[in-house]
Amino acid sequence: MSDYCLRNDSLREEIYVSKVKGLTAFVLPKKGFRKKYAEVFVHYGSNDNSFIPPGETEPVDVPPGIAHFLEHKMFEKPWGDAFSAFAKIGASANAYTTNNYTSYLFWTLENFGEALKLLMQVALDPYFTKESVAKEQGIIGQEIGMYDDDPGARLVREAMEALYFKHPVRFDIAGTKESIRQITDELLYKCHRSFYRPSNMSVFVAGDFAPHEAFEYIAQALPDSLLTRYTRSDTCPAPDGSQSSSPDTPVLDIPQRIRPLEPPEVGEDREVFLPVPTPLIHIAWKDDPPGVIGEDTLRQELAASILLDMLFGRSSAFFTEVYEEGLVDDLHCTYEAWPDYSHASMFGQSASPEEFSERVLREVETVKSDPKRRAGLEEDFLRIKKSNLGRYVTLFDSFDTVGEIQAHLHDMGLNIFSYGDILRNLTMDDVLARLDNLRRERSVRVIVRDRDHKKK
Amino acid sequence: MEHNKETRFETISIGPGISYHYLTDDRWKTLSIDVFCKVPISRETVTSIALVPRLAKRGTVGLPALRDISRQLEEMYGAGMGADATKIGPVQVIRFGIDMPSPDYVDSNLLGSKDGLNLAKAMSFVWELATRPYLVNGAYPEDRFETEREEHRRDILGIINNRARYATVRLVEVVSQGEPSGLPAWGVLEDLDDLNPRGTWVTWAGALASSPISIYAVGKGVRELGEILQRTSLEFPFSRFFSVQGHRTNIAPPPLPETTLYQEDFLPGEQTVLCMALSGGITEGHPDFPALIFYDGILGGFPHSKMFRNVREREQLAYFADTSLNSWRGMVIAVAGIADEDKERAQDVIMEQVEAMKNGDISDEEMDNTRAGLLRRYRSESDSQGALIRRFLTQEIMGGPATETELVSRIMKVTKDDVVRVAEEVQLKAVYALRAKEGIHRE
Repeated sequence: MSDYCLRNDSLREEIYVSKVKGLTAFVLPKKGFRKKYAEVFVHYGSNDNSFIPPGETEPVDVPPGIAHFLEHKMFEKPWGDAFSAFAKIGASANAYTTNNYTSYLFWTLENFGEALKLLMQVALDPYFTKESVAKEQGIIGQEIGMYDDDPGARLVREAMEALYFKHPVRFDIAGTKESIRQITDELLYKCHRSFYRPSNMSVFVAGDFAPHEAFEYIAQALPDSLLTRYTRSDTCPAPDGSQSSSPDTPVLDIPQRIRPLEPPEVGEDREVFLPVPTPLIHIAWKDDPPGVIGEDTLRQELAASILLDMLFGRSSAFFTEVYEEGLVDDLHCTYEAWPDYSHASMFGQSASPEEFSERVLREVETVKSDPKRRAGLEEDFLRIKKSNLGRYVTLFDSFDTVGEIQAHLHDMGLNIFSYGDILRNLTMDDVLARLDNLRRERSVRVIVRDRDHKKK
Repeated sequence: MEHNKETRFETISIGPGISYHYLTDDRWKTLSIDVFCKVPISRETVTSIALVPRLAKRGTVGLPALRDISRQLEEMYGAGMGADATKIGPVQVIRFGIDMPSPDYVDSNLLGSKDGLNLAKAMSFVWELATRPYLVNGAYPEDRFETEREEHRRDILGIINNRARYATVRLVEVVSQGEPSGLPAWGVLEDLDDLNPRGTWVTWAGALASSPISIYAVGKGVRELGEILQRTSLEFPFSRFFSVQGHRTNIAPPPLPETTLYQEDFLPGEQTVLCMALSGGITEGHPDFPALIFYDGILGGFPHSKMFRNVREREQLAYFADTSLNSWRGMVIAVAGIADEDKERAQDVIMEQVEAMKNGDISDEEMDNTRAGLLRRYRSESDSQGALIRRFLTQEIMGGPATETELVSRIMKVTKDDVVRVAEEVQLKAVYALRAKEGIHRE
């Protein structure tokens, strides 16, 4: 029934993969669990603001926040609200939008087949009207207001704006109150038609079922017209009904994403005033994008995450030092690598954010230039790699984490088990390559503080 | 069907007032051990005890520095340490816990030795965190104490960074009217200054000697760990009272205000948060308590609830508009994030829903959807270690049903008439608004 099966013997986990009516489907059997989980991934996020729709030749620019807006609107159907429809059959549904993906999900104990059918309707059957768009502008306006007031969310947004000049990752996922006002029902239809296609989507299902049973559910949940709706030859009629492509232009059934060329430089440091009792600090470093889809992207992300843990994690000499001095309490480091952009981030609260940030940047310089410090990294590397391998084991307890990792990696030609292999085979050289790329001149500092703070 | 069997902890006693609850289950790849010390809340001890988990994470006798603990956890394949203070009913619950990958799934060919992934060793680690902090002359070291006191102060002040959470905390403070049992798990900000390193340690060692303790363990090998714990005796800093029993005494919540209390604060921003406390004094043990659970579900507990449909979808006043049930206080707390100028309107729309329920305006669909949502919640708890532990621990403190069968059967019995009867009892006890804009309405 499935095309192939991914497995790992020591983890005793298997993921079955198959194309069902053109849609890639993953099944994770989880014996003994009562909960059944399904998630639809659309490879479409807030970064996709500029693209050439399939079958067309002219690029389209859409307002920031439209992918998230679309996600909200997909729950409204001519027959009513899909949340209530899920509730009626005992399922709990949700959805979220990130920079690169939109996800629709539910979990349930019963009526799985029915709920999956509903989930597919939510993702595949758009229904927008002028009135319903206007209504959502009010609700999302409040959501944006909530993020505006959240100092942590502000910190991240300001850091991305400071780090990037052109790349759309600099825009907030929800957009702004102004940008979402430009969203119309026609634009929403255009985005849906362009990105919500089987070749640009996948579905992940987990629970106590036999794989063939799960694939059967998926097949039944998908409309038969799905393949014919979006085949390779489908030129996707333009809104006026004309065929927009000429016979000699190759027609792609996926949209072409247009990403502006991002310079390696970064913008100015920022200071933002919000009524916070303790200042918040975010330091971000722009790194070179891997440039290719595949293993290198993942290796870069894993190596950099380990590096940040080695330098600034709770077991590092640096953390003990700044903690004991009362310069910082909790410190979070993350690293994101996508084919077209990558950056490292660190954030926390500090009563002396300028001093703290100077210490961070100096620590990086010291480790880079002091041969003794550099040589001493090996031991930390092995210990933290071991720790990450242990956490890799336990992530299989979380259905949604497995789904997200598997769906994203599949789009890069990898899978969740190759994640484990790449992690295991990481070397000190991978880590040192990232260390050399943490450059002061490619870092930005953002501080959120109270306007009335006393200058030293 | 095999997965329909009830998942429940086995319990054994391992000392006076110390119980060990274990669940041998191989569905998870995570093993976990949590020690809970259950201290009745009092103004005198709540703030110093709130500092204890922070101080424990700084170092123990065996692992004296922060860095030693962190390295040890990394060596245990990225084991996670937890130490915190929360509140269940009128009890401050101090937790020390660890979770780690089960050695069964760690491939030693690829990962090297599995030494360290050992339940007995994990238990010693957790127990040491709880009972043997690093001390100097019988007190927490002065410098560590100062840092942690300062960080704790920042944490309390930092609650305001999350406006919805802050508003809920303030609302609860308003309805508690100064009653000590109503104090939050993190204590009282102004009491922090009066604490000292020695007094804090003595308070904690005293609490360890006199409070009931529950240990929860999940995963393969936990039965054997129980046998070890029964054979050996756990060591305490101060000798443990032999009279410690599980407490069921005086779990009464603070008395409800007689009239509706109103309170507002101003914090400049984009969004105003409106919080409302609704209660009819129905708590666990009252025959109508299951109907109160329904009341919360129909009013705001789900996306199919009245608040989501009316405040958000119909009136477009909010992005979030929901309720949560505080079962100890028998109180339904409604929260909505709104534009400041819509505050009166939002309050009216919420009260319309409250009135509608009183008038019996509850559809069969609302009853059915709520029942389905509650059943899903209870039945799915058996899939989550954390949810199971929370449920059994809450039952130990608050009484009421703990098994899924009991929880489900009482939900099945609730009728619309029961919910309407509860709705008739419910009164608005407090309204709190964290206002984002200053203006004429502020008179």
